[in-house]
Parts: sequence; structure tokens; C-alpha cells
Amino acid sequence: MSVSTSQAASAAANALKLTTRSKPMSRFPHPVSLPSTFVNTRVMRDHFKRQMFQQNEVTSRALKFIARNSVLPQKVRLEAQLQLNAMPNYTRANQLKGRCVDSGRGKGVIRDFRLCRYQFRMQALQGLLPGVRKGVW
Amino acid sequence: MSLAAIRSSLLRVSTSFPLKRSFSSSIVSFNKNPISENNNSSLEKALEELSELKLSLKLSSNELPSIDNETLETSKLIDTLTGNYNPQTLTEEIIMPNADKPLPINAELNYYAPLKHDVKFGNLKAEVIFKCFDPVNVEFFTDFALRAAYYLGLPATGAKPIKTKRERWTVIRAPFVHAKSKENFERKTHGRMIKIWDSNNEIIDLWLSYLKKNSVWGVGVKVNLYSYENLTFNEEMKNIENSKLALDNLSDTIDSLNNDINNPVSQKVLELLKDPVFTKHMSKSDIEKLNIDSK
Repeated sequence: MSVSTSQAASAAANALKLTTRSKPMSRFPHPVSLPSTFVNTRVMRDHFKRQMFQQNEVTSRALKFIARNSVLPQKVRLEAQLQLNAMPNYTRANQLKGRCVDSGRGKGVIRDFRLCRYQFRMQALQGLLPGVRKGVW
Repeated sequence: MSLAAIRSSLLRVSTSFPLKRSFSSSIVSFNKNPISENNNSSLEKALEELSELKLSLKLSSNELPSIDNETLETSKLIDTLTGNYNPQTLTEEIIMPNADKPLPINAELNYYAPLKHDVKFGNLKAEVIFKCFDPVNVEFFTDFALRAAYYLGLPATGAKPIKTKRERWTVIRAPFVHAKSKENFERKTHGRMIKIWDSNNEIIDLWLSYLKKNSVWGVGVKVNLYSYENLTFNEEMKNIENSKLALDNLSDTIDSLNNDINNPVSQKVLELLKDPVFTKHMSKSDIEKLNIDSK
């Protein structure tokens, strides 16, 4: 009985701590900068992954070199592979997603302009995209 | 001689003998000397004084006097300005409306297709590729580039058109659903290519920097420069084959990693391999190799 009361007390104390934090909880595990494009939650998330990938690219490439080099001892290669697997998901390039620069949309993005289809259409009709005009044939 | 005849003669000469610039000699006969008619100018007085100076020089020329370069050049200048000054022009309009001067021949040549030097040896030095969404801009810039190449003495061929790249996008008109109604957009990329032959690398660089300085809006330029290797190039290839051994040998691998100083990945690999997390899996001889080679 006493154990359960003490547990409840500690939980309450933790809850109090969380609610009365002077500093808000950080959004991402590492400090990140804002993108220069249109910003919303999904854009921020993608931008965070891009920065993390950039910071860890050298390490992951070095680990891949060790893991795939047949000259090195088998155990060293296995160790490198384990470390590679232990790296968090946000350090991988395949987590990145092309997003519309002007609206943050993740679907229907035209890669040449980094714009989603609707933004592309609006800007092309306004003549903001050099050389793009209505196709007539 | 009518204007049409002059033009046709110019075209004929410039196509068959692009190196010679003598085509204007037959045409200039009807040109008057605009400077000698202008009696009131102070320039005329100055010229008279200079010609007197020249006469005095001529009188004493029997004794072969030593003339310094400056006097000689002044005398040559007088010759061109007084005696047989023939401003070489092509049109019948002798004096420009606002300038009191004839149109210079190099300015007038802008009305004709650019002149080109002959390709003598067929040694390709550079291919310059111009690309633009607008054909007008790229035509203008290639014309300018060809003229600049002519005056720098570079044998150039082209402005050969490159196949126009046509990109098309079909997008849904509406921001949300209604996928049956679509709109088409397209972008054409026009290209021209100029080839430069038989010339000096420095002059090509000079020409390219001149083009860069006077570049036209919206025209992209790509240059392929060609160089020739020595006949001993195959020995360098052997060295490349030797480096393939690095795949089979640990010390060679570490050697090549050590030599690759500018590559951050190879430096990181060495750093990781020296870490106790990895060295605990290695034999003593391997660790020694790692430490010896990295010194």
C-alpha cells in the first residue's frame, strides 16, 4: 500500500514538473534552423531530417565503407553494420521527401521547379517561371 | 556602282577569302575626304604645323639623321590624316547624320553576317554551347561571340543549331479534385554551338572571359575544352592498375586512405578503425599496420 502511494506521489511530482517547466520542451532531439521556404509542421519535420542527414553523412558513409570492405576482419565489418543500424532513422537519406517550396504540399510536386501542381500552374500563368508558357500543339 | 552590287561583291569576297580585308578597296573611290573640306577647324592649323615639321625632317634626310620613334609615328599620323586618308566605308551615305564622320567599316560590318577565319589544321580546341529559352537572345549572343572570335583571330565555325529541347507538363487546373480538367504547359530550350579550332589556350580564355563580361540575359554557356595527353599516358594507366591492389591488401587500403587527405570520409574511416570499439576485434598485427601506416 505504501509503495503504491509513493509511486502515485512521484508521478504527480513528475506531472507538476512537466507543467511548470520554465522552458518549453524542445520539438526535435537536436537544435535545427528554420528553412527559407514556406513553413508548416510537415516542412519543419522534413527540414530537420535534411539537416540531420547532412550532419551524419560522413559517419554513415565511413561505416558503410568499413562494413563492405572485404579486406577488413569479419568482426570489424559486423560491428560497423551494427553501428549503422543503431543510427536513428532521421539520419537516412531515404526519409527525405520533396515538398513544395511555396505551399509545403508533399504530393504532386514537380521536381524541376520544386513546386506543387497548383503553385506551378499559378506561377506559370503569371509568367514567373522563365520560358514556361501554355502548351499549344 | 549600285548598293546592291556592292553588297553582293562584299558577300562573295567575305565567303571565299575571309582572311583578307581588301574587299573595300574597290568601293571607296566615291568617298570624299571629310576632314580636308573642313577649312575652319583648328585641327587643320595644327596639321599644317605638323606638316611643316615633317618637311624640315625630309630636307635633312639626305644625311640619314636619327629619328626617334615619337617623331616617326607623328609623321605617319600626318600621312594618314592629310595625304591619302581614305575612310573605308561601304554605303553611299558618306557622312553619318549626327557625327560628321563616315561610318567606320567595322561598325558597318555589323549589318552583315559575321566574318570567320579559315580552319587550317582541323585541331578542335573548344566547343561552346549556348542555351536559352528565347531564340532571339541566343542568336544575338552567338553573333556577338563569332565577331569577337574573328577580331581575336580565332578560327570559329558554327553557330550550329542544337536540337531544341521541349519539356511539357500537364497539371490539374483545380487546387482540389476535378481531375478531368487539365492544362498543358511547355518550355522550349533553344541551343547553338560554336566550335573553335587551331588556337592558343590563352586566347580562348581571353575570348571566354570577354563573353562572360558581356553576357546576355538568360543565355547559359557551357564550354567543352579539349586537350591532348602525352604518348606516355599508358604508364600512368599502369599506376592506376597498381592501386587496384588496395582492394586485396589491408596495408594498401590504409595507405590509400592516408593519401586521400582531402576526403572527409576516408579520414573518418581511419578515425573509426583506431577506435577501441573496432580495435578490440582486430589482431595485433592488424593494429600495428594501422598505426604504422598512419604515421
